[in-house]
Amino acid sequence: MTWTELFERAGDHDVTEDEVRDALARRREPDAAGESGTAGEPGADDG
Amino acid sequence: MARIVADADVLAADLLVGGPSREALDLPRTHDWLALLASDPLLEDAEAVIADLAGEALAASWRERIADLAVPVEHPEGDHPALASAMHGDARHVLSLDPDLGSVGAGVAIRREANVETSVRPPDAFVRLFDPASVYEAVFGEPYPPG
Repeated sequence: MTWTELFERAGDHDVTEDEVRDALARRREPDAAGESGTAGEPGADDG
Repeated sequence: MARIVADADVLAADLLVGGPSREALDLPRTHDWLALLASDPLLEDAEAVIADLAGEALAASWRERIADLAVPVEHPEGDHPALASAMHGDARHVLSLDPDLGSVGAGVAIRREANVETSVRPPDAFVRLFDPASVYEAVFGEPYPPG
């Protein structure tokens, strides 16, 4: 399938940049497994 | 070869929204000396966004098509897919719709961490700034071939 054909198919969906941004933010939410250690992690002290 | 990275939001917006994201990705589509770098995690994120917004069939078709355009790069698991693709692939430009990723503070942190001159910009800013002739001459040291 060419890019032109893909764009034609995609044109059926009325999507905005905000929706794309929000969808990616949901996908990359911090509670996803496997997040590498970084400064500022929420405290998770187990007593 | 000049190298850029487009974050998953730009990859998805190229397909689903058009506009500046499509203008930006038209550049590596039309200039074979401009490489679009992408790791598997980055493509998986974009595919997931496309599937979420437009269905898995379109997402699968996109994934097949982008495989011909994107140059694969690997990076450690868990790293930010776009930033790590740029760092490990030596890309000077990261395109993103995330205003936080494109902030001055983030840019400084990226350059300090990666020790490379990598800029994060929204696609419309990249399109305004990108001059094929200048980039070609800077990368290859010879005049830009006539179109």
